[in-house]
Amino acid sequence: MEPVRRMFAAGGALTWCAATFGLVGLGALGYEGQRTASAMLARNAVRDASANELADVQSAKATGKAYDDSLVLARGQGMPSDTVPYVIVSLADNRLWVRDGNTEIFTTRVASGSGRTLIGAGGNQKYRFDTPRGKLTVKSKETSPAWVPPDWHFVEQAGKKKLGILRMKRGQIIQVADGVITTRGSEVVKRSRDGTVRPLTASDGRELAAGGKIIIPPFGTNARRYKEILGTHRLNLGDGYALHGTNAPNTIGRSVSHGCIRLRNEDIETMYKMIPVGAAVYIY
Amino acid sequence: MITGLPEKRPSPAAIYIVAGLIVVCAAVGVPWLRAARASLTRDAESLRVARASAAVHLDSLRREQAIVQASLVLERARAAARAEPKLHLVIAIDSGTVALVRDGITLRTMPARFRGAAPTRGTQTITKIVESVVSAVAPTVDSLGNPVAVKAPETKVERVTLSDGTVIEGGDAAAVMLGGVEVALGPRMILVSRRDFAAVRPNLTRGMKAVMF
Repeated sequence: MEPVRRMFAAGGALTWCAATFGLVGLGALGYEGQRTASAMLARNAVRDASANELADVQSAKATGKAYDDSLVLARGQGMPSDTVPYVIVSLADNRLWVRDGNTEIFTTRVASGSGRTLIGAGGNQKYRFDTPRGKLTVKSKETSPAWVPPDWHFVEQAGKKKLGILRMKRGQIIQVADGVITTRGSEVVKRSRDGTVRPLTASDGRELAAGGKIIIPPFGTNARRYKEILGTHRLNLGDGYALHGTNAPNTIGRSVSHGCIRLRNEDIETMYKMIPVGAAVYIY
Repeated sequence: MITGLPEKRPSPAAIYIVAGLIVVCAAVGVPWLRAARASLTRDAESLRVARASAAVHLDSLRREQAIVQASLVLERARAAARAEPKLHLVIAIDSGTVALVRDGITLRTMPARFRGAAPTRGTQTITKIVESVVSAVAPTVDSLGNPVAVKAPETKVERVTLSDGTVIEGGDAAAVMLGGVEVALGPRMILVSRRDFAAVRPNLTRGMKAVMF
């Protein structure tokens, strides 16, 4: 310390002044340096916290996107196919809807099964005229369909006309006043006593009868094919049920059929064009 | 050691140099440090603002996420209900509807009114189908004050009961149209219009699922 003291002694006031300036400068540097270092530490702390926050935001965004994707996926799950139209029938409303996906593309009134029961002669046969509920499928489509009446039709007609029933077999000969009724190939024919043979035809309400009984012709014969009963088109649903047109449009909107779903001819024509084979038909 | 020579005084130049250097360093360093500090402060401030905004954004994202998560649970329940291939009922409490659904296809949607205790969300099954004819007997008095029982017209009552005790019944369409949830004593009940109930009732069977969400 001695040389320093001697230096101050030699320099006098000027040295003291220089030293003071030096110390002040040093102090200022230290003070500013310390404050700047504190500011840097504070900034770094905020930067780290901010980085964590931004990472949380990114993570939340990623999670949110994953949730959004899952939501879109869940919304699409179990949705009906939008490629094949399908049919819904409400038996209570006697109304039909055609939908493609969730879009309704056609609706109209229909006639459905009456729900009544027909009891055959002797009470041993019961026929219930219900339209089946559930999911059916369009099995095939036809234009100008012929109706092959089931047995109940003849039972019903016999009941109306108070006649009996005669179930005819192929090759069977039924005696009538002026000859016999029998089958020949796919025809039910009448062979007169003079040897002439004439094919017999029948229609709804004009069935073949002999000896006080309505004849039920064998399946596959012309006498068991009625034309123009089912309108212009038919969409077969299997088990004898179908969506078809009608020659009695005034019955539409009521529960009067024997189980099939009747539509106006113009409506079944539209349906024929719209509905492919294999389309689902939901009846409830 | 005494030499007799005049004593050599040390030069203060070193002090001047050191002091001068320090002053120069301070003159340059202090403004630089102040500028750096100002920049750091600004930086920290903007980071704080960004952090605050990120926090708000994060809050909003988390809220949205919570909503989406809740929707997802609901939507998954809906998807499960849709994916059920068999005929079943889908009861949407929030939208106040009961739907007859099969293969993901809604065959009929019916407005509904919920009455009684809050419905429980989840999958139930139909446990009971009741069909009965009731006649309401309203006690009244004649002109002399004697009690007379007046028999009201017979009413056909059809209802189904779910496994959690909820009763679904056809009722007055106007009451159903009011919609919503009516908190009341008595059994938990879902009221749909008689017309709707009559349309779906023949399709309902015991054991059929009813998904409520």
